[in-house]
Amino acid sequence: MSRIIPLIVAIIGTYCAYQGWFQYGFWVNKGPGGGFLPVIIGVLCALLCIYEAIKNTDTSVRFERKHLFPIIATILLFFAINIVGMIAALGLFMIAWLFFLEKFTIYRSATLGICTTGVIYIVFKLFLHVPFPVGYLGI
Amino acid sequence: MEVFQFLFEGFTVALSFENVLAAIAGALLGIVVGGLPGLGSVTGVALLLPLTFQMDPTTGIIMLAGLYYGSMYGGSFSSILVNMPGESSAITTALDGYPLTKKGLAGKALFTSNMSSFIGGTIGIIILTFMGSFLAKIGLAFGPPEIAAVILLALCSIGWLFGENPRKGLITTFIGILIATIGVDITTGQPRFTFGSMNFLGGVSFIPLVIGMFGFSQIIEMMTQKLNKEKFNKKITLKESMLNKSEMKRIIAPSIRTGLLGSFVGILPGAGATTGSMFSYILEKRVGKNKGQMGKGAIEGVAAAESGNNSTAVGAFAPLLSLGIPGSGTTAVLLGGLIMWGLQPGPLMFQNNPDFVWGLISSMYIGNLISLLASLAIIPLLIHFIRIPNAILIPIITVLCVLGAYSARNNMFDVWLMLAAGVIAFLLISYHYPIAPLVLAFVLTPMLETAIRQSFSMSNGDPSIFVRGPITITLLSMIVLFVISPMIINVVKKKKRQEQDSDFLAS
Amino acid sequence: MKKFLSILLVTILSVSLLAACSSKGASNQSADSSKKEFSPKRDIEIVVPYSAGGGSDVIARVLAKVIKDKNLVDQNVLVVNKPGGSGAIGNTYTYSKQGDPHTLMTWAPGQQAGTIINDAEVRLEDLTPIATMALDSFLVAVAADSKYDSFEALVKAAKENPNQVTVGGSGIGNEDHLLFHLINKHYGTKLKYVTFKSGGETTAALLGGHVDVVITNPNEIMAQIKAGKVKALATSSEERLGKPLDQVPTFTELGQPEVQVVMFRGFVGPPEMPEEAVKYWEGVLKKVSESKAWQEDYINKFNLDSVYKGSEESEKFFKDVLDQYLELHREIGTLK
Repeated sequence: MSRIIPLIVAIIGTYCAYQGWFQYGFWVNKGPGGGFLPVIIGVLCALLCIYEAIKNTDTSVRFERKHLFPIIATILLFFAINIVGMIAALGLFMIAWLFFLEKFTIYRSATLGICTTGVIYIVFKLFLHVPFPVGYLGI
Repeated sequence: MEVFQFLFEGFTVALSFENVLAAIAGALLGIVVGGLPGLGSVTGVALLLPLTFQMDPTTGIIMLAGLYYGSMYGGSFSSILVNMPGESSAITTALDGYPLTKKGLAGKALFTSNMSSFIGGTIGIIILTFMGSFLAKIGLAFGPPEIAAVILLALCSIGWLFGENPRKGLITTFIGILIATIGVDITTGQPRFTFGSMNFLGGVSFIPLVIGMFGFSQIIEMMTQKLNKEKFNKKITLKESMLNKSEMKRIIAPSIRTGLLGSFVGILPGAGATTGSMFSYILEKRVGKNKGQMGKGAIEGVAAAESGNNSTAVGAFAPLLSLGIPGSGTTAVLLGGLIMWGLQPGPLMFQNNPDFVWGLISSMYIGNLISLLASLAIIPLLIHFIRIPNAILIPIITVLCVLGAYSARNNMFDVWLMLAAGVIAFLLISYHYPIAPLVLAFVLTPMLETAIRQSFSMSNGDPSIFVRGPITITLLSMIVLFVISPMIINVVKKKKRQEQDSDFLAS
Repeated sequence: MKKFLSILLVTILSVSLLAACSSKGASNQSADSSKKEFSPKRDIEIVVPYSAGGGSDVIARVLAKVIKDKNLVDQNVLVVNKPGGSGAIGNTYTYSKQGDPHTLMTWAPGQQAGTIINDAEVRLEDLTPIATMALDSFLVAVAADSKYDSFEALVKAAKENPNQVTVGGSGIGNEDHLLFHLINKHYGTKLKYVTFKSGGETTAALLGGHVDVVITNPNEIMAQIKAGKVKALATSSEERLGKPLDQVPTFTELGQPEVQVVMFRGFVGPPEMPEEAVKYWEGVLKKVSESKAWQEDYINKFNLDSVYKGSEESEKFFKDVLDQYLELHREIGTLK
């Protein structure tokens, strides 16, 4: 993995340089074109990353399953937003997180969740008028 | 001194009961809006603007200036407490503020941030009072080639923030530059790297990127650190949060230095508080006494960043008031407000509406003081926040990340962007790639690219425009002197040392 | 005392906003088709597809203010910024509000041309035109101490030194750039265009002597003209503008009536907005347009031309302007 990161970045750099040169133009109308920076930085970046991949001496980092929890939870949150709308979804998220992951009692989870939702509703919706997405249920 | 007379008259306007009340209300609202991730002074001013139309223009602008001010103070809170910059200008505050929190010194970080915001702001206001229109004229001398040189200097100085592994720092800087090229290229109108998505036409949105890279990546990391919570649980009292005498001494010099620098950066066209705080942080990292500790939790770092961004915010008023040219996003919104109030911001405003202008300037002194007092009063409340156990803190920060990413542009796509940025940043951080250079390069690159291309358009392709005057020549020689040559010297020294080491080993 | 009251009012208002529960109707189905008269049942959203501080933002906020002051609508009027994708994000958002009579969006020529150039999904024909409220013009201006004291002198210099005379503007494909293109085309000049990010930066570059000429809305540069720092050489309006610009010749007077870019500010609604709602909003906007507050706070202060065109008229007008823009974009090469 410690070599994969620089290699992926090297590929991205090469792609940027390629696009910059062939699509956006390096030097256009007597001046730098849209591809000027992508080409220069893309090439430098790719070279440096390849060097880094060769030289790299990092020990591999251990990832734990727990690291995935917030990512998965946030993705689930998106679906919930589509169904019940942003504010209710955030409340449900809080409750579900505290109940399932932190093993809080349902009573405590619900209290905390509802409090958070209440604060968000008052500050963001009523006070600042942020137009939150409403879900299919129209909440 | 004519100025003192005007200022005195200004104070009599600003110190009326209703105006002080307006300043207090504005400052408190600002602290809240600035502290909430995703919402910044632009949103706050835009929201409050219609409410102020019923007021007298002077009272209205005093309230708005108070808000602008308060948001600068509030912006640093979430940076320090949860590593999530509430305002883009507070990114550099997080670099030292959050490490201080991790050490259990959140109170000191908050105190430092407030004190140096005050110092920086005050310096900015004093400069605005006495030299505002003069400096605004100097600002005009900075055309595209000069701006290009300034930004290039800043971009090169990011190198000072790389830390232990300069190669990795350079890689993330390059990534930041490449991300910054996404979006419609304003010089040709052609979309770049947008992959057909409307959401990328305006470029990668800055606030979701920052919230993801700083805040969300932090949450992923915190998942496995739950056991360490005892560290936070030790009681932090207000008394411990106060800075002692020697600490006060440590932050005063950096605050003054960066306050002066920031005021100047604010005057440059299109620079803004983010650039100002960044320049200030880099300056401190370069010349400060405690530069070795910066980035690991030094109060000097917080001081430099906060003093810098507050003074830049004030500096941006100079071109607005004396020329009618907005220097930042927020002042652009204010400009609209001024016109609706029936004022014509422009070269004549000092003559035609002296009550208003001097009332505003005087109110800044008051707004700054009120914001300081209000923020100091909030510290005890805020330090309770970090005592919340991680089990509850993690979902709360996640909710804030989602809210912040959404409310910056009211767009769900930005929430996805935040998530992606968070995951990428987490991977990068795990392998010791520093994130700050990426974000800073992302801020600077569009300005640099635009300025370079404007210069070439102006000169019809003649590169000699970059050495056309004393300003560019000075700046370019500074780049060579301060940035490139130390790097070469470092490399040479390292080689020598290696040679010596190998000689030593050989012998 | 009045001042004090007004602050108190605002403070109370801000606080009461916290408490006040805007009881929002669950959905928009309540718009009964049997009823002839429409009246809003919940908060009104005015969508601005650009960030705060721009021209679209200003018209939306003044509109909200006038509606509130005159009590023309019973509900709260909220301005919602949905920036991104040269307006496309806001357009898509409004499109998603299908049939909703409580949503309006600001509409401008650059925004509608952008939908075609960027190949966006939501275009003019997908939305419901409601009204046109104002026309804007452009000035060709130079610094007061410039050696070009008339438009003819500028044209002459530009012909003699091709690509040397620089013109500052706010971006390729924007209205000012289209006008720039027309000037080059019809006067046979070779002016050089330099892109800036905003009107403010363009003005700063002119005052600092970094560009020779700017093309900009009167509003952006009025303060400088009044202060005698900048002088206008030509205006794109059909007739001469009011004082202090009454000495500035139009392009028709300068021999090229073809040099003309229409810049309007109007409003559209979501697709399939009920007919009675369109009528209702036409009525409200007409009242706004005729009000003294609108004429003073918006039209005069921002140096605009007041017009009012209703839904049907606007639909045709928007299309005509769009056609002109697309033709110009093809000439410039931003649209293939």
